[in-house]
This record gives sequence, C-alpha cells and structure tokens, in this order.
Amino acid sequence: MLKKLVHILGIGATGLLWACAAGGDNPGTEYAPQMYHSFAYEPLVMIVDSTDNYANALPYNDYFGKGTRRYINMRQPVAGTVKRQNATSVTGTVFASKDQPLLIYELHKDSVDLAAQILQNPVPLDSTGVVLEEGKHLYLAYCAACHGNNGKGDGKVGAMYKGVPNYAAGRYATLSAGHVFHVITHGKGRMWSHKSQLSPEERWKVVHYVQKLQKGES
Amino acid sequence: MLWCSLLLAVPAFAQDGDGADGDGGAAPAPAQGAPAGGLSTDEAVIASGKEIFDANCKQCHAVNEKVVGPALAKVYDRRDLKWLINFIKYPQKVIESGDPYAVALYKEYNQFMPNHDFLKDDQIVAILSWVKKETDNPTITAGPAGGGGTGGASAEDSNTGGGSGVLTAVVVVLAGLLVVVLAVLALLSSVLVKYLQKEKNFSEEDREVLEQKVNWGKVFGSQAFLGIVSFIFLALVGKVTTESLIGVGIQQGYAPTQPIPFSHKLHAGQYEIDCKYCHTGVERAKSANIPSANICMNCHNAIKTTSPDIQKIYAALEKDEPIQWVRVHNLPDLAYFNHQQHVKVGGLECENCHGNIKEMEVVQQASLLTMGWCIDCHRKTDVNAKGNAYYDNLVQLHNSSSKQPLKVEDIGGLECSKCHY
Repeated sequence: MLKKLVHILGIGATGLLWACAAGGDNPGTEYAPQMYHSFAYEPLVMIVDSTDNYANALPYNDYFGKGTRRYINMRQPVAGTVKRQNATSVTGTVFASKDQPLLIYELHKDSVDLAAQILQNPVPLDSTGVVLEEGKHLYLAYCAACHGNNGKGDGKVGAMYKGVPNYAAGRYATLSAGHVFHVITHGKGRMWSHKSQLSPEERWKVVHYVQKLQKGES
Repeated sequence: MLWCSLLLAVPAFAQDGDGADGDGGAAPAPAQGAPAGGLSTDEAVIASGKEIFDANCKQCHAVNEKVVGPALAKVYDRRDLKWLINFIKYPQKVIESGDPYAVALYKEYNQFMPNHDFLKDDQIVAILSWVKKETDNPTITAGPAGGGGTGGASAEDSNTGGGSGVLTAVVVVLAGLLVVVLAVLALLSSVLVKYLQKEKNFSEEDREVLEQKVNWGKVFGSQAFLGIVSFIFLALVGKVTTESLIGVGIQQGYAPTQPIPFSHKLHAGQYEIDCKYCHTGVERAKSANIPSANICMNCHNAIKTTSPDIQKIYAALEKDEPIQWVRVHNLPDLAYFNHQQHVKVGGLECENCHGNIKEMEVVQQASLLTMGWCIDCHRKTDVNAKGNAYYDNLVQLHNSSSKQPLKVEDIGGLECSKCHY
C-alpha cells in the first residue's frame, strides 16, 4: 500500500514539475519572480502599475501622457533634443568645422535642393578605408533591403515596395552628397525618413558609400 | 477633365482603341488625342527602353500600378507621341501652359514630375515601346523574385530538416527490422516445435523440454522482475524530476503570442531585411531595441495597408501609444548583458544566441540563457581581437605565456563581477 502511494505521489510530482517547463505562451516557473520583473525601470519594459498615485521619479517622463496611463517606458525625446554623442565637444572627434556643422537641424525637410547645394560631407575618408567600410556596413543594414546590395534598386523589399531607383543610372549618378544626406534624413518621394535609425555621423558615412555606388563601384 | 482623370486612375479602363478615341473626343484638341504611332517593336529598342526606364522612371512609375505617378499602361493610346515627348521633357511647362490633360494630372497627383530634358526623343520612344510591350505581354518580374525567395527558403527548410529526418528514418527502419526478426524467430520456433511434436521416439527429458510452457504469471510476480521494473521506473521518475527542477526558471521554448503576429521568417528570412534595420540598438547599446512604429511604417505605409494587423500599427501611431509586444528573452536583474559588447566588439551573429530566427514564424527563446550556458561559451570562444587595438597588448602578454589562443575566460569572462554586481 505504502509502495503504491509512493508511486502515485512520484507520478503526481513529476506531472506537476513537467508543467513548469516553458513553451508557447507559458514562460515556465520562475524561481524568483522579483528578479525577472524588475522594480527598477529597464529599457523597453512593459510597466503595469495598479497604484493610482504612482509617478515616475523623472519629472520629464510623461508617464501618464496626456492624462491617460501608458504602459511602457519607451519615450520619445522632447522635440529638439540633441543627442549628446553627436556633439563634437563631447566625443572629442572633430569632424565638423564651423561652417560645416555635423548636426543639421536648420534645413527644412522640403529644402532638398538647398541641402544638395550647400552641404558637404563633414566626415573625412581615411586612407585605411575604415570609414568607407563602416558606411558599407551601415548601408547593408539600413538601405540594402530596398536599394539592393549594390545600389541597383534591386532589393527584395524594393521589389514589393516599388519605386526604388538605380544609384548609378541617369541623373541619380550625379546627385550630390548633400542631397543623399537630406534624403536619408527626411525621405523623399516614396522613401520615408531614416533619421531615427541612423545618427547624422552614420548617415554621412552611408553617404560616402552611396557616392561610391553612384559611380557604379561596389 | 473628369474623364481624363478617370482614365488615368483606372488605366485598364482604356481597353481598346475605342476608349482612347473617347478620350480624344473629350479633350479639346482632338488631334492630340490620337493614339501615338511611331513606337518600335524592335527588341533591341525595347531592351534599351527598359534600361532607360529602370534608370530614370522606375522609382515613380510602374506599368500597371499607380506608384508615385500614374500607371503607364496604354499611355501611348491616351496621348500622342509628340505630346508625350514634350510632357516627359518639360512637365511643369506643359501644365503651366494650361493643357487640360496635364492640368488634370497635376490636380490628381499634386506634384510636378521633374524635367527629363536630358532624354533624347528616340530614348523616350524606346521607353514607350517598352511600356507598350509590357502592356501587351507583361514580363513577371517582381513575383518570381519573392516566389524564388520562398522556394529557396523552403528548399533550405527541407535540407536542414533532412539531417534529423534521416536519423529518425534509420531508427524506425531498425526497429522495424528487429520486430520482423523477432516475428520470424517466433514463427521458426513454433514451426520447429510442431514438427518435433510429430516425432514419437523422444526420451522423457526431451519431451519435457519440448512441452515446457512459460509461466508468465510467475515471471511477472518474481522478485527479480519487480526489482528491475521498479528500478527503471524510479530512475525515470528521478531523471524527469531532476530535469524539471533544474529547468525551473529556464524559459527556453517560450514563444508568446504577440499583439501583431509579426513573422521573422517573412521579414528577416524571405525579404532579407537586416536585423539591425529594426533592432537599431544592437550595435550601439545594452538593449537591442524593439522597433518603434515609425520603423514599421518605413515599409508599411505602402505594403499590405489593408491588413487588419498592419492597421494596428496605424492605430498605435494615431493614438500615440506603443504596441505592447510581449518580451521573449528576459534575464533576471542579477545578471548584466550588453548587446553592443557581444555583437559590435565580439562580432557574434544574432543567431548565435537567438537560434535560427530567420526560420521562426513565432519567435521563441532558442537558448537556455542560464549561467552555465554563458560560461560555456566564454570558455570556448576566442576573443575577437583582430583589428582591435585595445586587445593588442593583452594578446601579446597572453601569447608570451600560452600557446592557446586568447579566450574570453582569459580576459575575465568567468569573473563574477563581470556580469553580477
């Protein structure tokens, strides 16, 4: 009798433990849930707080946004916020001269022709080709899906999205660096802005690589 | 004018010469409404036309679809060649001159096409010849590109699945063979017994052996049998129990349903969108980032706009509320992990830890994400020191005392405080 009981208990316990394994919508048993669901704010974490008077200690974080409760701590920066990492005084790498600022904020998104005329690439190319290599790396990540690996407009997404030009053909081959930079920043025609994905410095590196593709090199 | 814009919006409406004639009749200058003659059917001209079209027109025009500008199918029936050449070269001038067809175009699309005065007349004829050829017998280009991707993916699918499939098949065949062999042996023995029973001249001992019956009840009841069965049972229970206990807190296989059934297989696999395009932080920060809705919109402003799932993105943008994705990979607070460090500096591929994400319809946690799993990799992996001046001295120092390559454990990859603090 005792033996049978032991067996039944064993099977039961095994079954219970089996249910602890993760799969599908079940994350499995957590040993210390407080460790998994942080009290401190982690980036991109969903916050569901039931207390009414709870507010984020950071006064600039509009946790209750427009009077309604929001449940995630991913926030858009205040309009006009300048990324510290791009300020040359912080990084110490001086790409920009006084008349050639790295941070372009004064040009309106409709001023593509002006940008094409007045902007020049403030990021110098180096002899070892590191900058160009970085530009290529970024290009392959952020542009190639539509524009194709060699800028021929033959990316697989581009085939679905339609309207992707060949960099090396027609008047596209002669577009200036400033034009390319402005288009990455604000979009043009069917292309939308990519400024949230690439910092100005990175955009200028991509411009270097795109200018190479415009010449038909790859 | 309404007639013109209707024709424009539904290019297929102008089915034949009659449609174009009707159009011509509506336009105040009937001579301009005549179908454009002078288009070439020469293949070389058509090929050059395609080339010029791809280089200069494709980003705004398609033959059968409205893209940025109108669809071009049968445009040569709607307007005559002289009008078309003039318009393509100087659209703004034509519109400003008050040409009713051009003005209707401008009203519909609300923007000027840039001047294409660098094109020669015969180049424009070549483009239009290609457009005519595409209208009459369209080459299917976009379809196969996507379809080819799917085909390739599924072929790879069956390839990767092949390895374990063959193994299973071998095991099944072997098991089948064993059963067959057992059956044959049983058959043989019964046949032999039957044959021997016909023999009369057996000694008493032999007959006993021959007519012996197995007492199964006694076998099952025996101490030895019970002992073996209990041992196997307890061992199994023990194994499952330990494994389950060890598995507490491990979320491998967790594949939650997301608010929008985003398929990595489609986006990263079939369409080859780089992981970094959406997970922008992976080379720059601790967290890889869940893309904000504006990144979805870079494509989905035009692709699959009517899908109810895509419209959830529009709703999120409209309400200015985030899409509530469910977190899949979650390290407890006690452990520090930095994506930038592993991807940018270490040069690891995403698949290293996240599994074959390009095949996942629903993302699941592929790796254990336990400490043992981290440590194991830190013991095995060489430091990606190539071209990184930071490591030069370390590599030199390490090489002076060891013949093994510099591993992550040699630069503190096993120290507690590297990840726990």
